[in-house]
Amino acid sequence: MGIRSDYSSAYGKGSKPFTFPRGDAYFRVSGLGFWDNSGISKILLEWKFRAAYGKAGIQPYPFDRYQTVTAHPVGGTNGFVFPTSSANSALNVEVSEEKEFGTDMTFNVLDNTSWLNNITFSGTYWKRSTANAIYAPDVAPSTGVGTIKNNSFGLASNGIQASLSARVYHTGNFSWNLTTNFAHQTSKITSILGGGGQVVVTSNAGSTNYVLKPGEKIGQLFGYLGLHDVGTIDPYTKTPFIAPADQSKYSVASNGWVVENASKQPYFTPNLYSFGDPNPKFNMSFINDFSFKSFLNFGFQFDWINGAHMYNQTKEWMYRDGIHSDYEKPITINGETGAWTAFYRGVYAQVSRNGTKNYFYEDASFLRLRNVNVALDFAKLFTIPGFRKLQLVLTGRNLWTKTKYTGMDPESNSGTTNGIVGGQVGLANNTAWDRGTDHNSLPNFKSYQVGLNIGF
Amino acid sequence: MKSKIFFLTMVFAGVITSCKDQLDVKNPNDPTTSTLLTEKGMTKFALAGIYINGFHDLKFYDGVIGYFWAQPFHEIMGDVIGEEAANEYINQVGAAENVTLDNSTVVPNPGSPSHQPALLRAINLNANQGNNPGFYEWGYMYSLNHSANFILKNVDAVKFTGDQTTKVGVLKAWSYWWKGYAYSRIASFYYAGLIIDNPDATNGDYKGKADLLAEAEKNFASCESTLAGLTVNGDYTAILKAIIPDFCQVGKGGVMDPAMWVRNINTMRARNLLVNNPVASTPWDQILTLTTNGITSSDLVFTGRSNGTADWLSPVSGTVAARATGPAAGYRPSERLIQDFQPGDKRLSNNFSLLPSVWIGNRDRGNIFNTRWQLVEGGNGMAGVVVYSNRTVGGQELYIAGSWEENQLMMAEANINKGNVDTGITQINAVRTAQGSNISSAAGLSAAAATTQLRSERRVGLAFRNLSFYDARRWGVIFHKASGGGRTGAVVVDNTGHVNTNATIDYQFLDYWDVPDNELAYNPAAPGSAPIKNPNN
Repeated sequence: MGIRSDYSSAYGKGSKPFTFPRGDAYFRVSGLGFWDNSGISKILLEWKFRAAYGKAGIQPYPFDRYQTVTAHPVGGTNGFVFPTSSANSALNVEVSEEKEFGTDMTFNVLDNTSWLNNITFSGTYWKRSTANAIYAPDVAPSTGVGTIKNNSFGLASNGIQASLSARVYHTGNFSWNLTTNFAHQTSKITSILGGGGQVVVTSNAGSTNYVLKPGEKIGQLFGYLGLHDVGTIDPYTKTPFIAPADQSKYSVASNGWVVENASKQPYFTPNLYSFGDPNPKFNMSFINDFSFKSFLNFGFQFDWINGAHMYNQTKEWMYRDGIHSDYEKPITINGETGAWTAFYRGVYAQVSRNGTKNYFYEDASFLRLRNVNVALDFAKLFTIPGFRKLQLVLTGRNLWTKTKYTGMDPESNSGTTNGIVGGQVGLANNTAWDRGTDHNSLPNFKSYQVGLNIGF
Repeated sequence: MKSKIFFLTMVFAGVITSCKDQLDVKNPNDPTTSTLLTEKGMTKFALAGIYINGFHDLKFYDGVIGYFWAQPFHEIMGDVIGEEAANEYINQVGAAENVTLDNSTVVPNPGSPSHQPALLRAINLNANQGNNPGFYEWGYMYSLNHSANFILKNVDAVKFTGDQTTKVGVLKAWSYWWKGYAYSRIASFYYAGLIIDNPDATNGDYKGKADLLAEAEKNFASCESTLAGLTVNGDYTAILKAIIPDFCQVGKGGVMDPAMWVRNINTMRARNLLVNNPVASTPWDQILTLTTNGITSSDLVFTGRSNGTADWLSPVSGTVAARATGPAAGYRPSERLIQDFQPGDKRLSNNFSLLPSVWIGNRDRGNIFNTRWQLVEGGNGMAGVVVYSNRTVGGQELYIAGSWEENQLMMAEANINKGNVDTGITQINAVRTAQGSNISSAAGLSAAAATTQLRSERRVGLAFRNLSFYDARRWGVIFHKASGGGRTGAVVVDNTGHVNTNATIDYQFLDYWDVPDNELAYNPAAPGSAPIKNPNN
């Protein structure tokens, strides 16, 4: 247990100290008196519960709370201007608080055999909340200021992490170890300071932006919806999007989207709606290691992310320029089949050119062979004078992927915004908000590596 | 032992408390607002706080539309230029509701929504941030207002060398002038606005056009009375020289004496009356009085020029005219601008030439922007004829506020509407002569014919001066064809490249824009505010 108290010039006016407590505790059930003598201890070798709590802060940048003016050249002299993003003398520290509970267990399932001798399970539930997160949201333009850095919102996230590692099979010559990891997490905005209850963040997904609202998941996209059914009801007004009188003019094309029969243009809603929870349902990894005698090691790892989504902005720009191969795919609209340019162009152009549209919001779940490696230690195979170890390692990464995502890589992420972030033009920032957007992003590479480990 | 610990703890505590003062660190890298309370600081702020905060730096920026003076909104709604790009929905802002071609085919607005006022409503969302075209004029003018408010609040506390009264007076007059200017622009474009005198706060009490124009007048009057008390001595000249960008103090720009400045104010006053009233109810007598005391042909005015480092205006992209220049321009000269030149007008041959081939924009982006013409860089070299676009450094003179030509034409329009038709014609001809057009109208025209000449001259003589939308609005051109608006006999190039010469354009544009949502999201209308949404259209 402990506490920590910090003073800093970067804290708000009056510079009160911020105090951060922390503590952790564990309880070993397997340490209890009755354990060693009971039958359980033969199978469940070790069992521990643990809990931890901590509070930490992120201080504002050193000069975030000082109002400054900026020099701006005007001809042969400099003038002074107010910056479009204003500092805030009352800025406070961002405070994060995390609690976690977990358990660790070690099993020996099939004692006295070569199978499943040593299995360790570890599971943790964690919950984290951040208050006073610093961000520079808009202020009303009539104040003459663009944005003001403020303790703008509260975030909360929670999740589960679990891992199971097992010595699956073990004999004198051969062993197989397996580790499985599982994680699930979700994060949301809990509160927003003033500002009409919303903060708008520029993103790379279409030309609409992320809107952060209290109670909603972070990274949630709002955009125009294409429909799959002519009679779809607007969740806000409870009336159909397409007026019943007009519904006969529309039909569902062979690719599942509602189009207007005459113009072959897809239908998109005039307003913005949420695309749903952006968080993946879970991610898992399966790591296998095999070793044969002392000279051969072989391993492979699979990664599986389920329920992820990606906004395929790259495809949207290619639709604008008519250079995507989709333009050659024929579809049937109201009985007429053809590779209708009007449809594909309309996907980009209808309602809002380059608007964020659910047509481009794709399922990016994937199963990927992350790693395959083979290592052969020649010094163990033959006796080579002078060498204790001469190990040749061959590794392949990202060799195989199975996914429905139509872009280059379901795992790529444009993450970097190069427009306006927090009101500051040109601030290239790895933003936490712009998750899951593929905007001309560099995909992960397949790679093959050869390595040599030498020991004398 | 215990006392040792106690002692050490006390020492420790003492060290901590005394350290606290050391934590009160100022930012050594940038000047702070207290720097602005010195003579040098305040002067430098009166320069860049106006020109840069007011017309350049803003929280949103898009290179396709540029900074304030490059933005196409007025000129595209005034049908002086066309644009294909969809940034800020600009192509849709300028697309007419429908155009009827010579063969009676009707080409509707290809956008969605296809009614421009409905589009402006649909995209007026805070979530659209910088994509909302309605944000810009509002954002810039209130930033300008904020800088002026800061000067007015703090200038008295600044210690100046030399003649304190004169220097403070000039800075105050400067601030009142720009506040009057800002309110004039807001009142002439938005359905409602805010009146803000405090640089540190805003309010939610939205006011209608009449109140905003009254506030503009109040500030212009304060400017005038402040100037009346000033002597034009060395300090007057020195301070004014320091707050107008040096590269603008050439040509028609420079240090103006109080009488000249007041004439500039009178032209702006006349403009406010002219552009905010339909022709039938425009107060012509007042306009005549004001313009008679307005900008003369030898007066200096408020100008904008580019410089080599594009500190404020870039030579090649800082103005609408610059962006409308050349065969691959972003803004395309409109056929309707071309057809408004009278036969034989040298300004047409000096400034426009045919493109190698007709430019036809994407048919899903607009219906009236196809054109055969390009604006020529630097003109075609005809001696004595005005050049609309000069993209050399410092070459183009932009009129930020009024100009002699504008003043003359307002006077002419007032005279024609009061029955002094020949006087009006003479005044129109004076502008034509000054611009080297080589055309003039004879005396003895009817009022209707004179009005046609006046309108033509306003379109071509004042092209690219951000007045075309005001004219199109007050002449009723932007309104529904069915209620007498629209334009007949228009030259329209259709999607096949065929030149129609008797087309009818039904614009149906919104006359005054709603308050932008980026303001309303953070500053909702307080009870008792004027309506913030234009109920017309």
